[in-house]
Amino acid sequence: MGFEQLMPAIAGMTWQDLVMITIGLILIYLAIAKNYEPTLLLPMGFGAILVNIPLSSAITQIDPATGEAVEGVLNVFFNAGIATEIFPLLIFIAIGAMIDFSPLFRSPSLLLFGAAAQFGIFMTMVLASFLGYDLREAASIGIIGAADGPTSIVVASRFAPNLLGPISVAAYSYMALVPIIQPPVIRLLTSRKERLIRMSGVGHANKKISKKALILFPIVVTIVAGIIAPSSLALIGFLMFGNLIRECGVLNKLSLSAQNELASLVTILLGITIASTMTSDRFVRVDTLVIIGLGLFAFVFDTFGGVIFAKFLNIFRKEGNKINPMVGACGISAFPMSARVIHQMGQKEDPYNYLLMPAISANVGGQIGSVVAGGIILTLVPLFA
Amino acid sequence: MTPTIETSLLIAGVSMAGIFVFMAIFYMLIIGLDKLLPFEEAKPVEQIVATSSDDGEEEYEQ
Repeated sequence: MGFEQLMPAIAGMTWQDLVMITIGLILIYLAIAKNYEPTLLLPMGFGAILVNIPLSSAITQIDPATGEAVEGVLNVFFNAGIATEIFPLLIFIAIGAMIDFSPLFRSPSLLLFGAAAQFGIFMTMVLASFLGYDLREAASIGIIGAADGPTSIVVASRFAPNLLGPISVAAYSYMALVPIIQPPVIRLLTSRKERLIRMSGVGHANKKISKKALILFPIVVTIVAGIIAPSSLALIGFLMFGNLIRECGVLNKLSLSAQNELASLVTILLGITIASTMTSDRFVRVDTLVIIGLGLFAFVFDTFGGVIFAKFLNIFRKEGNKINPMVGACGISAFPMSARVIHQMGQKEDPYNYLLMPAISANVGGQIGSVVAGGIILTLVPLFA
Repeated sequence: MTPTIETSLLIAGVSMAGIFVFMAIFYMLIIGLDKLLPFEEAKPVEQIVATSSDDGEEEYEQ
C-alpha cells in the first residue's frame, strides 16, 4: 500500500490548500487576539481550515469507488441557508431587534448621511466594471461598501455566488477595520477648524419620543419601501419586522431572543457556511486580491461621500448650526463602531466636544441606507444585466 | 468606454438618486409621525386614581 493510500489528505495537499489554511489561521488570530469581528471571522477562519484539508467530508466530495457525489454538511448548510438567503434574512430580524430608531427622531436631518455614505458602493461598482467584471459581479463587489455583512451576502449570493467567499471576508474584515480606515481619510478631507465644530444646534439630544411613533415607523417604512421597490422588501421588511418586535412592547421575550439566541445561532451557521466557499480553487486567485483591494476602496469612498456631503450642507447652514463633517462619515452601516470612532476623534481635537449623539443618529441612518442600497441594487441590476 | 461601464455609471447615478429619495421620504415620515404622535408624559398613578374617582363622583351626582 502506497503513501497516497495511507495518507491521502497529506498526499493530496497543494500549496493553495496550505495558503488557505494559513488564511484561516490568520482570521482566527485576528478574531481572538485583535477582537476583529470575532463572531464572524472566527467561524469563517475555522471553516477555511475545515474545507481546505483534502478529501474533507465537511464539503461535497466525489467517492472514488462509486463516482457519486457525497454531499458535505457545509454544502447542505449553504444550499439551505445562503442560496435561499434564509441566514442573512434571519440576521436582519436580529439586527432590527437591536436597532433603536429614536436617535433618528431626535435629529432626522442626519438620516441623509445614510444616503451620502453609500457613495463608495457605486464608485466601486463602476471601478469593478472598468476592471472587467460583469455588471452582476461589479454590483456584488461594490456592495462591500455597504459595510453591512448580511446585505453583502444577500446581493453576492444572488448575483455572484462564485465571489461570495472573498466578498464576505472583505466586508467583515473592513467593518472591523473602521477605526483604522476612517480617521486618516477624514483628517485628509477636513480642516482642524471643521473638526472642532460643535453640534449643539443640530437636533434635540434629550427629546423624548412617542412610543406610538416608534411602533408605527417600521410598519410605515415597510409599506412605503414595498410600494416603491418591492424587490427590496425582503431586506427592509425583515429588518423592520425585527424592529417592530422590539418596539411593540408586548413581545419582550421574542425581542430578547432575536437579539441574543437568534443572532448567535444564525451567526455561527452563517460564518462557518460562508467558509464552504473559501476553497483554495475558488479563493487563491488574483481575483480575491482585487476584490479585497476594491473593498478598501469602497470603504474609503463611503467616508469621502459622507464627509463631503456634510461640507456641502454647511455651505447653506448658518453659523452655530453647522454640521461637523466628521459626523458625515458615520453614514455607513458599521454600528456603533463608526459613531464611536468619530466621537473619539472629536474628543481628541476638543475634549469638551460631544459628538456621540449626532454620530449615533447618522450611524442609524447608515443602517437603513445600506439596506436601501442593497434593495435598489437588487431591483436595478437585473433590469440591465 | 465599454457598454458595461456605461451601464454601471447609469445604475450608480440612478441608485444614488434613489437612495436620497428613499431617505427623504423616510425623513418626512419621521417628521410626520413626530408631529402626529408627539410624546405625552404618562400620568402619575395618583392622578389617574384621582381622575377616575372624580368621574365616579360626577356619575353619582347625575
